[in-house]
Amino acid sequence: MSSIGGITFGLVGTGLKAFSVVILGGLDSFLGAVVAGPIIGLAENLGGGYLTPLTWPGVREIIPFVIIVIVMFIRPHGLFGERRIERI
Amino acid sequence: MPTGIRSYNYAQDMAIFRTRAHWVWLGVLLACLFTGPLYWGNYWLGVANLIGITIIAAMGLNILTGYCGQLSIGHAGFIAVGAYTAAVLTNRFEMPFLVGLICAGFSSGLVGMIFGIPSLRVKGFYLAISTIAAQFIIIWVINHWTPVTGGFNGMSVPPAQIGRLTFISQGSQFYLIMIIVMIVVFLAKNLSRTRAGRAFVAIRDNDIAAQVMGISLFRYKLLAFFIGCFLAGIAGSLFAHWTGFLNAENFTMMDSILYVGIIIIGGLGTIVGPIFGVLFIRLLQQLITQISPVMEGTLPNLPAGFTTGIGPMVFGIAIILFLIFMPRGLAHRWSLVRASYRLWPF
Repeated sequence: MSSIGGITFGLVGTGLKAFSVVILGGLDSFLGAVVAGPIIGLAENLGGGYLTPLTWPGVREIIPFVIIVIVMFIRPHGLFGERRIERI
Repeated sequence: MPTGIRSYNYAQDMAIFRTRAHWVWLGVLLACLFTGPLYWGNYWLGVANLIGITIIAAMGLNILTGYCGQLSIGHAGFIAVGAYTAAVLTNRFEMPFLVGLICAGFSSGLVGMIFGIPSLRVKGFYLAISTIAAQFIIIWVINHWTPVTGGFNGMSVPPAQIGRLTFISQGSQFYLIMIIVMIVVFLAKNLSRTRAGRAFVAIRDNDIAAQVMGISLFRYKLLAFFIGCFLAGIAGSLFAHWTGFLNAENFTMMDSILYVGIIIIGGLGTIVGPIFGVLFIRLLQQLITQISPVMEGTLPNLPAGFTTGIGPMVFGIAIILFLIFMPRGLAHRWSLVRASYRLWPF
């Protein structure tokens, strides 16, 4: 990341967005991270392009976080994560 | 409580202050507190007001995280919801202060419940992530919903007013905030002993076992989120009227982490814990603010920005040291002191 975009304090935001990738892909799945990474990236940029006229500028910054909340509501274990059955 | 005190009925057994000595200590504490504005300067009254507001917020987070076990790293976001609700109601609609205070609590509680719904299916790390998401979404909405919240420019808030009383000076706000702090601490203490409080502790210890025992997880987890965020909203409303000017810069994710740190330092799942934690953290911050000009004066060779960056560093070191040496927080230390007092003459 730093070789492409330079080292800035904004890398903190990139690290936080990585959470949305692993949550969408499933926390214990490598395949999930590989598949979800492009999904999040595309959603962020396409959404930023198409939603900005409808909402407010800067909407692309929070799309990963909205995706986290949606995934938490619908599929907490993510796309490829293992569904845990808990016992006492 | 000294040895040899017996209870003869249930009310005596459940009383918070059981002996005459307790009442005397309470009276001394209250007397010190309420005569404080007479001999504290304006600056330290401001610090005391900030401590009071933070105690209310930390008490809410303690009910949510300490009692019910639902980790929230979005508490500053919920405080922001309350602060902006109160600001919009009192500034744009010119509602009275108390209406704004209650509405701030309810709006913050409702937003907290919405973001608390994932807690029914996920817990621990996942819930922490989804509350981080809540923090970012709330702050983003506040920053961009310019017609209502003023956006990046912030908005001004009129001083608190009850009837003819206007709370402008730090001293008068001190009384307002301290009275609300006392109400909140009293309610939190009693909440922890009711059916709901015991249900929260059961959910914290093992939520599936709690469900088997007949505790409705849906109801009590959302209730914990509501109460925790309600108190955050109250704190936010007081904060808005205390500063007089709101900006989303006041509610960053660092503040959310600070609140989690406060209740860890104070002691999770106790009533006195948040009070000790807030006192420790806020006075530590004051110490750093007071000491950093002295350090710059005496040690001119320090790298640039060292004194401004020392605050977060000391805060992080404090949390690490507390987790290593005192994992149960200052509240545990306080209970040890009380236990030695119990056997005092011997």
